Order: sequence, then C-alpha cells, then structure tokens
Amino acid sequence: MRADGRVILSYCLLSLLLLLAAFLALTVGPAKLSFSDLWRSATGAGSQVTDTILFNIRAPRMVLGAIVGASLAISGACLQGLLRNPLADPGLIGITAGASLAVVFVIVLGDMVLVGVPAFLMQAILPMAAFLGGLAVTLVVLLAASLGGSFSAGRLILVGVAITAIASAMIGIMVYMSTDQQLRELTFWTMGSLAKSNWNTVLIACAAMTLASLALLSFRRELDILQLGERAAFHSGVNVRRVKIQICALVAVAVGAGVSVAGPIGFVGLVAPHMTRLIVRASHWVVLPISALLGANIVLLADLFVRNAIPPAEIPIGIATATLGGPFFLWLLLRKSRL
Amino acid sequence: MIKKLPATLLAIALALPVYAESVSKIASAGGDITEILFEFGVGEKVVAVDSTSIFPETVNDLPSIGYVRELSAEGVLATGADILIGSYDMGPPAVMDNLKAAGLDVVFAPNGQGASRFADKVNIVASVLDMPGRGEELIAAYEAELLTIKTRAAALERSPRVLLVLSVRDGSPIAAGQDTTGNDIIDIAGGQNVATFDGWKPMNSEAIITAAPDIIVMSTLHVERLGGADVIMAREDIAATPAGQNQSYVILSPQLMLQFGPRSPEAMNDLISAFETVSQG
Repeated sequence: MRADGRVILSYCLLSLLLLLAAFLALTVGPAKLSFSDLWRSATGAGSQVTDTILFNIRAPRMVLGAIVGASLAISGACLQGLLRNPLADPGLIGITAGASLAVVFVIVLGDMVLVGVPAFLMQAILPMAAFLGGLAVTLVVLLAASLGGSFSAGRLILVGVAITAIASAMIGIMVYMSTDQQLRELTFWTMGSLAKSNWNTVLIACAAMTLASLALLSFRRELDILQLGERAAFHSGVNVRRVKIQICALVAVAVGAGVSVAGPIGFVGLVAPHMTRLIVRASHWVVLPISALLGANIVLLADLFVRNAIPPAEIPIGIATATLGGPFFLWLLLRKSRL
Repeated sequence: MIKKLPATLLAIALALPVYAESVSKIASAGGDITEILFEFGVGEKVVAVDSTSIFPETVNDLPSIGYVRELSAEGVLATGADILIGSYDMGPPAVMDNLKAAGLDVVFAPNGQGASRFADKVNIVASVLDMPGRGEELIAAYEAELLTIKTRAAALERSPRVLLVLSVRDGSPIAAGQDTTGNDIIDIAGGQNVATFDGWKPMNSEAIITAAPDIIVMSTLHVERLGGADVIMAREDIAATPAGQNQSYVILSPQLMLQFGPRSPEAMNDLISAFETVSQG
C-alpha cells in the first residue's frame, strides 16, 4: 500500500517489457515481414497475406498469450496466499487434471460418441469440454474437502492430490486405448499452444479470464489477513470458508478458460508469484498485479521463442516455459538464499 | 517348453528360419504388417492383432494385444500364438526380451526408406511364412503400380508444393515433416513437401502461409470430425495459401499417412490425380 520505490520501478519496468514483448509478438515471426509491410497493414493499406498474418494470426495469439499469462500468475498467487503453501499452483485443486481428462475423453472417444453433432459445435467441443472438465473436477475437490466439517487448507490440498491422482489414472486408461494418431494429438495438447486460428474462441476465453482475474484482485485484503492464519483471519472478520470457495471457483474459471484454449501451460502459475515475491517483498496489494504483469511477460516471451526457434515447426509452449523458466527460477532462489 | 527346447536349439544351430512348417498361429503388431499378412492369404492364421491393425475389417473381431509400442508379454502369450510379427517400433524392448525368453519367435519388420518401405516388409513376412513366391508376386505387383505412379509423376508439368496434415483442430496443425511415411508418399507422387522439419510436428500458421502449399492433404478422421474439408480449408492460415484460394485438397485415411502397406499405391494414385489438376492450373 505504501508505494515504495522498488514497487514503482517494478511496475514501470514490467509494463515497458510487456509493451516490448507485445510489439515483438506482432513484428517477429517465421513469416519474414518487413516493418514497412507491417506498417502498411496497420494503416489499412497492406496486402491480404500480411493482413491475415498480422491481424488474424499474430494479434489473437499475442492477446491470448498476455491474458493467459496474467491470469495463470494471479491464480497461482491467490492459491499460494489462500493455502499458505508455496507449492500451490492451479494444478493443485484439480483444474488441469479435470481439463486434461475431459480433453482426453473427447480426443479418444469423441469420434465414436459424438456422431451427428453439428459441425459448428464440433469445433467448440474441445475447449468447452476442457473448461467444464476443469470446473467439474475443482467442484468435486471443493465438495470432498468440505465434507466432514473441517475445510482446512491442508485438507483441501490433500483432497486435491487424491482427486488429481484418480483423474490421472483415468487419463492413463484413455491414453492406453488411444490410436497412434490420437496419441500424438493428446501429447501435443498436454504441452500447450497459443496457436489459435479463430478470434471468437480467443475473445470468449479472454473475457472469462479477464473477469475472473479482476474478481480475484478484489480479494487482496482477505489474502493479506489470511497470512496471519485462518483462526486469526476468522477473528478479524473474514469468512474464511466463503473466501476459500470463492477464490477456488474464480481460479477454476480463470485457469479453466485459459487451459480450454491454450492447453495446460505449466510453471507460470507456480513461479511468476514467487519471482514477484523475490523482487518485491510486499502484500497481495502489490504481489497480485505485479505477478500478472510478470506472467504475461513470461508467456509472451516464451511464445516468441517457440514460434521462432525452429521454423516452420513450432515447439509446444509448455516445453519452453519449463525448460527456460525452471533453471532461471532455481538460479533466482539460490542467489537469494546466499544473501 | 522343455519338449520344444531341442528343436529350438537345433534351429538356432542351423541358423535357419524355423517358422516355415510350425507357423500356424500368428500374432501381428502394426497395421501395415497385418495388411500384408492378409495379402499373403494367411489371414486365417492370424489369431491376435494390436490396436493399430484396423484393416481389413475382419481383424476388428480378433483379440487385441494392445498398442504396438506397449505390448504386454502375458497378453501376447495368452493368445497361444507361436510367432509375433510386428513393425520396427514394436515394443517395449523388455517385453520383447521376455517373449523371446518364453520361446516365442519375435520378428521385427524393418521400417525401410522411401519406396522400399513396402518391399522390405513383404520380404520379411515372406521368409517367415516361407512363401517367397507369393512375396515376389506382391512386390512385383507393387513395383508395377509404383512404376505407373512414377511415370505419371515424371509427366507433371511442375512439382506441386504439398502440406500433409495428420491432425488438426483449431491450433497449429500436426504436419508430416521429412523422414515420415507422409513425406515419402508425397515425394513418390511427384510433390514437394513444404514441411522442412523432421518427423510429425505442429507447424506454425505463419510458416504455412509463407510455405505457400498448392495442395493440402488431410485425414478422413479430421474431415469427418470438423464437419467437412471446407472447415479446414477456411482456416485463416490455409485460406491464405494457393491451396486455400483454389480449394485444392486431398483426403486420405490416416493409416495411409502413417504406414506403407498394400494400399499405399492407391493413396499415391489419389495424390497424383490431384497433383495433375494442380500443376495444370
């Protein structure tokens, strides 16, 4: 709340970096377009091909990347604060497992079961299934955790682990049943991708992610109080049980919408908040928005890398976030602990 | 087991294929191998197949021994087969060792390169079945078809640029790169594969536009799933290519994209007919 210099500097630098990342996302890609071509397209006088690349391929991808990154990071920060557990990430309450399970079902059994579904629905079925699957499994986790009275953070985490394990087992059964072609599709889906050829899907998902993330930002006060412990928070007038359910539900929507279009992009939700806390040791008032900026930057830069590393092929973005981010995070931790 | 041991030892000592007389029950792993066995007319000896074997349709009624790369030792032994024939990627290796240790004959067909992919597989099956004559017939028929295809390919006015898509939803399509069966069928039919990477990988949308394919090859499965080829041809990236502008595409069974088998010439004929149209236009 007290705006110290370091926080202001972080805001400024991360915003500038985000602008730069967004600019690079629009200007650098496997199709070598000159600045003058891009400028002509931007001012409405470009060729059809440049227009398509700029407005229908790079732009939706940039928007999706920034918003997925921001919402993953906010969600991770909220869960870490809520559960007071540094290992918490959106996977913990079953969203990723639920979404993956639903997607695996659609890919493996869809061709058998979904006969006669109209074409326009067929295209939306995978994102819809992922979203609903994530939501449904999170709901099961919340319900199971609240059964038997104590709805503690520890219980929520353990129930999350158990249900995720069950979902993984079912994914295993589906993978076992899959054909060669389905297996390839599944594998690539689980590694994430921001490539979407369709503005509509991107906009719907982004609207859900933005609304849920903004709603999460409004829990900053409660999250700060919760750091004193659940009992203390309760005595300070926080309805701990309700806050828990609300935050988990919002995280499920924010992350679920992201996973539904981009697949599970690992590492960002776990690490962006930690990086933020290493830079600014502050309350959730600052940690949530700065995490969001950092998350957006991480995803956009990772996508810049995967699009341009080995053209014309594309590396799944989850590989990049983990292989580039993991060691960086480790270095950051080791460096800090030496101080 | 014990009773069979002397015979097995003798066979090893003579280093001869023992399969000939004793082969009566075959387990087959790999859709291409299964098809070839049926081409040899020994379909009735096939007692179990893996999950990639889906043609001819009668094999769907046979017991399944799982996915070709993840076979289970007991599952295969339970079929009572005396030989397991599979494609080069049959596995896992530990299970293969177990099966060999249990006295089962395990035969790997080579993957081969380019147009020889088919002949290599037929030869190994012919030696296992001790039917060299039938093998030569099949290869000769295949070579003849291939010759027709190559003549047609050589007559193309120009070599069209081709993008072969194995699977696609709304993200980056998974395309056939170099060193894939998909690449080889394009190559033999006289086309030029625009995916320059190795193996099957997602191809970037912008790169698809820059690669400017004249024709898109897509799989039956995805066309059905997405509600028609139009949906795929209308994607922003594909619509911006020459293929998209001229609505040039071919639809193939995914199995023909992944494996070289007896039906591959059929697939290449479909491709070349489309190439002829494109290269004239």
